[in-house]
Amino acid sequence: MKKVMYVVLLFLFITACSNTEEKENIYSESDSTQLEQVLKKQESINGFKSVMDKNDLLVALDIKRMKRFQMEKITTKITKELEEKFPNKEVMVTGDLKIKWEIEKVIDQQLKEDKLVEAIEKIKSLSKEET
Amino acid sequence: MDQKQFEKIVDEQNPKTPLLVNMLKAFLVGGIICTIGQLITFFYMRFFSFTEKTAAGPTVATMVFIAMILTGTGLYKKISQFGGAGSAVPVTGFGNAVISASMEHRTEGYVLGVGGNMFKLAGSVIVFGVLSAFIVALIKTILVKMGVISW
Repeated sequence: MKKVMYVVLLFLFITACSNTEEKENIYSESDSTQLEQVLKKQESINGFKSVMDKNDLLVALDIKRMKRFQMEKITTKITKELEEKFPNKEVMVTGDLKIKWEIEKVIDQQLKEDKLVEAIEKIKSLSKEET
Repeated sequence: MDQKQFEKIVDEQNPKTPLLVNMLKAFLVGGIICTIGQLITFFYMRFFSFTEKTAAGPTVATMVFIAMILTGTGLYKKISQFGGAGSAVPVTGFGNAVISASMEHRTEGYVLGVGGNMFKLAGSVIVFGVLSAFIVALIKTILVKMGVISW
């Protein structure tokens, strides 16, 4: 029993967190550079995924492990900065993993125009869900 | 021989509690239970339309349900003999408390035995949860009406 416990503890200590920087976004040739400018200088995130259409901008952040306690502060800060850069778009920034997965799905499917708007509306309604 | 001397002799005679080993066991068992909970959260997020915020509810329900079945089959007893507080502190301990109390009084009949004693241990948790949720919601409603904070 003791030996097993040592092995498990060793395993826990050796396999530390490992993260590689990631960023991805679509449908935003000129805008994407602006978006990256804002998000690259953020200290508290590992990367982001984002989608954009005419009226909306969705950004899902990958917040660093220990910074997740200040998730709300970080998202409101980044939302403010992005709203300054994109005054004619409705910005939604979130640290939620599910939203990130949904955005990845949209990026994978390479949706166009109407279907993209539909998908973004769906993601937005998902994040508003309370129960 | 007064009380203190007696206690001293008893302390010397009793086997020492392996405190560090017990803590390690509790840490491991509690950690494993929480990892299973996290996996269930990911399951609900992956295959249903729950977000990180909303997946907490079904996860808790599933964990309690699993703990109830394990208690009924007698497996949870073995886990808690090994893990101690590590198996009692997570929400699975709640399911264990409900089912073990009702199993204990099964011989007294279904209504007065099982029904009457089911929430003997866990009832206080439910009452406290409901009452504190009500009071917090009341305070928040008042603050929102006054305009101090928003929903």
